[in-house]
Amino acid sequence: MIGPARRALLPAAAAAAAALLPLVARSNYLLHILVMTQIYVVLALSLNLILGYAGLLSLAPPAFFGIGAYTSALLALRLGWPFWPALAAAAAAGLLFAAAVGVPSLRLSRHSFVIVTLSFTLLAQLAATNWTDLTRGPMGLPGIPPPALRVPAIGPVRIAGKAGWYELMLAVVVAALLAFAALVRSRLGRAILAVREDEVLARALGIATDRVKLLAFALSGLLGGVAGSCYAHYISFIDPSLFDFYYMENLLIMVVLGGAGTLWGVVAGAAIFNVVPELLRIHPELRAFLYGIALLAAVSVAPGGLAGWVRARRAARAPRPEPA
Amino acid sequence: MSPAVAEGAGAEALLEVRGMTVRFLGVPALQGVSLAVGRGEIAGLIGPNGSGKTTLFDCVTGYLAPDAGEVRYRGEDITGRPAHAIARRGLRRIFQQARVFPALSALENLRAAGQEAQGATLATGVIPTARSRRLDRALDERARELLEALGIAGTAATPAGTLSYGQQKLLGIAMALMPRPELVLLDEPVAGVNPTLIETLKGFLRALNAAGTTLLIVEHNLEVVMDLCRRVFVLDSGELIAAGPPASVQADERVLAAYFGR
Repeated sequence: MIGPARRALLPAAAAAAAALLPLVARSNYLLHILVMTQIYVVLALSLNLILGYAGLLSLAPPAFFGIGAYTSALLALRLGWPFWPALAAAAAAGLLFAAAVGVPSLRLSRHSFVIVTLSFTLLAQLAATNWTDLTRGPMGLPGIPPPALRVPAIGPVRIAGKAGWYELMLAVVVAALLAFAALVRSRLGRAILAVREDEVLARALGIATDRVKLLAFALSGLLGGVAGSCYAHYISFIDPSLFDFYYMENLLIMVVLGGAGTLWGVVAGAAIFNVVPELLRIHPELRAFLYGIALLAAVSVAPGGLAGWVRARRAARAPRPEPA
Repeated sequence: MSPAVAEGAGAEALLEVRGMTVRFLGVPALQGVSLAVGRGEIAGLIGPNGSGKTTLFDCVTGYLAPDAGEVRYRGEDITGRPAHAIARRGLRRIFQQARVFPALSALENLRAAGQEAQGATLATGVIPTARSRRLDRALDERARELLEALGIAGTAATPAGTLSYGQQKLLGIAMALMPRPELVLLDEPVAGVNPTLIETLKGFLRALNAAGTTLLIVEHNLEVVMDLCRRVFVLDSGELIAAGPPASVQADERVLAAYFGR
């Protein structure tokens, strides 16, 4: 058994090492991939909570991502809101929209829920495209300002360069991971897992399954909103393509192949599936083909994702307990 | 309610079912069934396959809304309440198949099974506080006590899905008992269990009852029913055809007809 102090040591060391990474990684290209990975980690946590922990497939993470991005961008552009309040508003928007979609749809069967979440994403894209007074439609929203932060002991800092963004996103990712880890280990987290494992049994044990699912979905929406806000301020331009199914595909690949229902597996999944497509750029024509082959291979070798594969390796090495 | 049903239910009925009627697509599954279980007793519910035993359990525990009739628990009408709300009041059920949360350890299964009855708030549920840690310690204590009593103490850290069928069945029973419920409905507790374990289970259920838990048991193993229960209800095609002590029920012509044909 590893003590709690030593268990906290490894993630802390990893975070410290990650904070020093820009000293080594000086190319803007590399830093851009890292920042995108960080944004994807937050978005992957959103899908992981609802799919990996609550066991419900939601195709709405891109919707909450887009809603967060538009909320944050519009508040910054039209009302001059600073970054943190805009981020908080984006998180709240994701939470509220998820709750509004969740109340009616979570009463349906799991299959119907998938369809409702898909429809919601499509609807959100339609709104972003056609509500031109608010969103400027396909022309998008350019010029979203970068964050101007007040750092204690340093004073105001304008996050403009990639290295600055990397450090800011590192703080967001660490906060998201800590909150996520605390949530899934909490009593609510236990109830969420119970709902995933056997909903009928959970109800017999006094677990209010409808409420638990709604909370999980709302928090998933919150994480999507946070990721969207960061993306909008980082890229500084957003348009309705944010809601494209392409993002959902990427997310599913990261979460499922990383290991749905685990924390580090999904972080690794987000990192790997941001980097691998870049590495495959060596051959522009074969790129998509090679990526497809790599995905197929990964699914056949490790159906439980990376985390599932590692767990199986460990179990194979550990001495088998005698059945009682 | 017929006098035969009320008789022997004791001074105070803990559970009362009145005129329970359920139809599936017009086909009656229960027809005006009334029965009462007295505080502190072990009652049995038997009947051929498809006679409506599990349907009755589903109605009592909030999994099915009856077309007519009512369920009273501790004198209070609980008909149509959600299943989780009924479970929190201390009326628990154990399913026919061994039902556990397979990916969670046996201990986590028991924690999940007991936490909702502790009446904690949402904040305690999300934020680790001194109170939530104290509640978790109470859960662990109760869990170890039950694992010990059922002879599966060694399985605490094992994922429930990898336990043997018998062990899963015992874990399922322990889960229902986590919050010390007042009334437990057991759906075929010894089905698929080996003879040695049946004896252990019988002893455990007797001790549980002696400690004050009221039990209503659906069981096909008539030996076990006759051995454990002082009162037995017999269902046939959705109707209550007999109720009373095991010996008199066994001699009842309608019961014999239901089981062995007319």
